[in-house]
Amino acid sequence: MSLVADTSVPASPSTWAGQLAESLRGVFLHRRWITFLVIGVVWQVTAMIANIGLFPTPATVIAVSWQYVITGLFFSELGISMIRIILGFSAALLLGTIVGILMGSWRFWDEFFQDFVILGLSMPALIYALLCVMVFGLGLTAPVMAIILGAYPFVAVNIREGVKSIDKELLDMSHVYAVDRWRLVRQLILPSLLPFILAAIRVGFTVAWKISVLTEVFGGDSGIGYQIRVDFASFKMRGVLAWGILFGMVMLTIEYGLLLPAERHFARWRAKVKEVI
Amino acid sequence: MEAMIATPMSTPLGWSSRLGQFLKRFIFSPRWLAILVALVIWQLYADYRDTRLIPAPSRVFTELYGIVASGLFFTELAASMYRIVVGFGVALLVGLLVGILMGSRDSWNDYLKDLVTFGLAMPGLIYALVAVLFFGLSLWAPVTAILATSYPFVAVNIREGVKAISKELLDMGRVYQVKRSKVVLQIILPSLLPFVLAGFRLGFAIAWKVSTLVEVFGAVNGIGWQIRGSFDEFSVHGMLAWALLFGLVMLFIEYGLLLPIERYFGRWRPKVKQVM
Repeated sequence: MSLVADTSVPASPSTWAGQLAESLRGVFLHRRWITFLVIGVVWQVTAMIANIGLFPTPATVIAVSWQYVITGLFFSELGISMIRIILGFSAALLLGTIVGILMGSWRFWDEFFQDFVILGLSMPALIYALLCVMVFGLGLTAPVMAIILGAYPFVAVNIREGVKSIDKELLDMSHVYAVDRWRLVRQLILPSLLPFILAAIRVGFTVAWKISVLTEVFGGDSGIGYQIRVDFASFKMRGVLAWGILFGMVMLTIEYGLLLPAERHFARWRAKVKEVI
Repeated sequence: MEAMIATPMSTPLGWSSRLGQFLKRFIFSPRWLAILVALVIWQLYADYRDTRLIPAPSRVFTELYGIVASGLFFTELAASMYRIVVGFGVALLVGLLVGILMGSRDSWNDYLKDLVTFGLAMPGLIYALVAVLFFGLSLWAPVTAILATSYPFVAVNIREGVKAISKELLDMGRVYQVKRSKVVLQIILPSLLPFVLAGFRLGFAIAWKVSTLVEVFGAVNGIGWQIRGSFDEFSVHGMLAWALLFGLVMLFIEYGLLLPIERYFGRWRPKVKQVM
């Protein structure tokens, strides 16, 4: 186990080439690869021993994923799904922000919306997907409505917490010093709301993405969910797994490559940023 | 809502007047207005569209009452619960093990981090479909799908819990040669418990949703199967009735059972993060 090239205490080589080599070694000699290796080998061996058509080897699954990527199928379906997700999630973000601000600012609205938001959080996405497919059919309305219904409670809850966390004393002080409204919004309200808005976007987007795929599974003629459905219906397990892996990769890229860094950047002035993994 | 009467220590009132206050707050709460508004809008929209696809609220509630009164709800709930309890039991064990390993050893954290992260990002749908394809109608399908989806949520929480154990208290325990059992019982377990419960709550919610998905695609009973049946018959009122029942059971388990337990055991902690 001497593969520990983890860069926790780097010897800080002076030249940029040395630094590059150091960080490359950190990536390639990381322990994480052992896990992938072990899982890959165990899976491959089990699949070869079981030797039934239903249980694909990792090599097959990766080959199928690669096939989907190079034929362009993956990108065209991803594009279609993305349009639905972006449309639906923008609407959900708007609605959730309005509800969240109302709930955070006034006790009356807090109690007014509370039951709906809680029920919305606990209902499974499946229900929204099935319901919207039945009521709105195959068009664009079904995924968009399902995403709005499923994702707005997550946005609202986060925005509500954000509004509640705005420093009341700072508000009072700016009131006393007659700070004008525009400056108040720009320099006090928005900065303290921003981390919560970004958290809302991150959580809500994940939910939106999953709901959109579910909607496509039950009533769509295109999109990633539809492709998963097609492979499932033809008992093509390697196809389902390949789509799952591609799906997971896209999720991880969006979350860890885009949303989380943005959230950290805008929340860097805050003392504690809660960090889950 | 119960928390509203339990917290204000500053007002030394008799229990009867506190109960009176609570009832007053409860009866005059804006929530009833919200429910009324929602029902009216729903009714008006159903009248306006006037298709079988948009049932009036009364129709949904009759259906809901029928499902409960005939006992169908309870048999289906029991079938679903059986799957969830078995699956989530296994997931809890695996999550605990993985979480403790990840929290206490850096090397295990490196080994398992990617797996857990990937597990968090994969949708339950994929696990449900693969499990159904592979195991068919047997109990293995829901159990595997639940295990794969909900153990990462348990593991992440346990990992945070293990990391949050006060190193100074442990050191002090060693200096004063406190017995091992006492260290476990009085330092490790109490600081781990809130995290275990949070992991339990989150993981259970996920398990419940995945189990329903598995039932939709491959089962012959359970709530998911009933929802699927209503979908196949284009019976929107049936689906809404099952969905409402599902939501109510979830709310009951979460706010009536798990959250109070979590708050009770976490009460010595200064801040228990409270999202609604």
